[in-house]
Amino acid sequence: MMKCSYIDELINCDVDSLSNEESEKIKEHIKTCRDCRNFLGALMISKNYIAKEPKIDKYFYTKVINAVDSDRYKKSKVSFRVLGLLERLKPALKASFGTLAVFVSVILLITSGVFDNLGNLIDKNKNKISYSDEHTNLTFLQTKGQNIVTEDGEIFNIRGITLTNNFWGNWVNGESEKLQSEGKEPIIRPLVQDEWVLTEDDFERIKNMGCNTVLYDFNYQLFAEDNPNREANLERLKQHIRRFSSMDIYTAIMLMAPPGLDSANDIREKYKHGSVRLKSVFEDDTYYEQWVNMWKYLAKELKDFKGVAGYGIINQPRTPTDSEGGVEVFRERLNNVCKEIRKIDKKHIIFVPEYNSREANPGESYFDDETQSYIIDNGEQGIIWERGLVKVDSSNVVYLFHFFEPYNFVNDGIGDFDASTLESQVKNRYEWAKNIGNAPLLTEYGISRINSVDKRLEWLETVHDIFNKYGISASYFQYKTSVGAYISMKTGFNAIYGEYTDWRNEISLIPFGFASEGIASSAKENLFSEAFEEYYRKNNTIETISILDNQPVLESLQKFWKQKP
Amino acid sequence: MIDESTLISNTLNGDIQSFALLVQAYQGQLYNFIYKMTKSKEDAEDILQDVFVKVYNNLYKYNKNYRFSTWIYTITVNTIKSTYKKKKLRPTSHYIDDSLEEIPSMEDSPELLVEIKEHYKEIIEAIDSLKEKQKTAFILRYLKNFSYKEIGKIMGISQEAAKMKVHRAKSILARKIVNMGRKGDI
Repeated sequence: MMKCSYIDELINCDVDSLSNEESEKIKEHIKTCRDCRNFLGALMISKNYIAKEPKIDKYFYTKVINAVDSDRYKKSKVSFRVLGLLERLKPALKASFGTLAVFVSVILLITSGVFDNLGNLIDKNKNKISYSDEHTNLTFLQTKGQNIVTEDGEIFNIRGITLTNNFWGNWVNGESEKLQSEGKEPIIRPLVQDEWVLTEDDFERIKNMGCNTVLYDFNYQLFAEDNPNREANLERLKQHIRRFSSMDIYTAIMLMAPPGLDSANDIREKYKHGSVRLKSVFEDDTYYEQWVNMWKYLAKELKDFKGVAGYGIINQPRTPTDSEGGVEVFRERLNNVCKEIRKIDKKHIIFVPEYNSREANPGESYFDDETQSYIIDNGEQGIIWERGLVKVDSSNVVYLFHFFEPYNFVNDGIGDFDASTLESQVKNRYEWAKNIGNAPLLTEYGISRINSVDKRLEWLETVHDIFNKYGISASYFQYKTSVGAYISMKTGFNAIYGEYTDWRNEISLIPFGFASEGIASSAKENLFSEAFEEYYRKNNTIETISILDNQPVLESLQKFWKQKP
Repeated sequence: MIDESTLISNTLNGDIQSFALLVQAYQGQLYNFIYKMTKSKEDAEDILQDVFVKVYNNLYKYNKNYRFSTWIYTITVNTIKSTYKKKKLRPTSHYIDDSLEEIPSMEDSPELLVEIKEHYKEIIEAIDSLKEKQKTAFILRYLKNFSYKEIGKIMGISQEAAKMKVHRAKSILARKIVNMGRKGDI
């Protein structure tokens, strides 16, 4: 059945602004055409419906007045006028000279002394007028002596939690087997961050936890020049920063996996002879350039974000052997990265880590993991697990060290810890940072579930006291990680929350249970079977995320986070 | 009655009472717009408050060369959008019933409405089922008689695109009405 062709004319015209003649024509038509008559009727009903205002509390405006800062425009009228003017000029200035021009205009106005109070005003309103689109009360952090301070000079100890964001990546069917057969790292670094690592629920949870900072881990590949998703990844990162800064939580941008050798592929690489081992950014010029370029890209994009606590330029680095430049090339390249970042970004803190190991020189002895004995290096570049901080020349630098001490106790539950030894390890670093001309320290620390809850709490309270005593910034490693049949629930599991990301592949719903014998036996071996029953299985359904037995651990962290410097 | 531009400049001079008057002038129509868009009274109030806080904090950026209503509706549309993104809005379950009680009397409408008037509920549902942008454009068009140019400015699209959105909305409405007639509903 055809509709009346006249109806299209009615859709196109504006019934309210018709000439008398047109109006008469329509009236004539709808006398005989039901479709058009009904359409016009429906349009009239729509208009009436849209126009009809529902009742609103007539004192609603009082809520608004209570919610705004009524002194906002009393503070400085002239300055808001100038800012308003600049705001209107912005599109024109942007088009011709870019945002820089706005800054230049502001600086010119300030220096010319026309508006004496403008400088103050920008200062006062720095939280509200933002070039990074943030809505936040945060200010840029900087170093002052051995402290991190806010722009108001208040001491700000980072009391954070680390979001590892699954930066090491995933097993990718098809590709990973191939890599494994070639003796290479089979876990492939993500080109796009996994969705599950930071969900809406995570933001809510982190907001309620009470930390003041998140250490946001990522891998180089996300922002590699040849990654077609680079822009989208950047936008996502910015959104995450904005989201956290709107909750007044800082985000420290931490590169965990640089190009080349990183702390995850090293698990495999460290057993190889130095001549065939994957090179690090300190050994390989291409990797080094990629590393520098990535930081230049991020610094340019993030320089205006108040919510960024700083940049962690690399994670757990290893210095090369002396024949490859040793600790000097390590220092030189760290210095260069800092210098390149500083050319672009004058404000943000740079976190410079201590090296956590070095390649042995021929004739030096090192502990060989495979034979579990000390052997003399014969050019194979064995790994010596020795740590050291190296001073860089940049300003606004915070030195970073990992604190999982004593290693055997924290990671494997072997032996015990001794508070005075722990303190001296922290104190040594504190003294070092003092002697190089006063620099603050940040530590990342954690303890695995192989230790009892009581033991974990005891260790945490001890290290928290030490961090407080020396005013050291600290971030707990880590907020959440993936659990499953193939991951040990005890060792290497420091996360507060465990998320069962792979249940679709591992669980069969009818009958309810692990989908195969193999999965069930791995689950048993990794103590996941019992964790599954206790924390994830709710009758015949699955709760995908759990705090496990970590509630007291979280409370201990929260107590630490609340203490004032 | 003090005019809008005086209220704005008074507010920018630190007179909060003037801002209260501005809020009073706009709260009814904006609440109506947000409510029609979100279908939830609770969400509409929350969003409305957000809108006014943003209007206040950014008032110094407002450019007098444009109509204030265009500016304030732009903020409103963006706030609704960002709220949609952040969370699922909660539609009030009584929504349709509420609307039914509020059927306008249409005393001024001609007899031709008799047939279609019975189908008030379906018509509202047809409006609600439009795509978000079509619905926004359609409602703006009939709420305040905004020109297509203004609708475009509010929605951040071109005048032509705004016109097209309203046109699409009307076409969909027409198709649904014609189909109702075919099925013998009307």
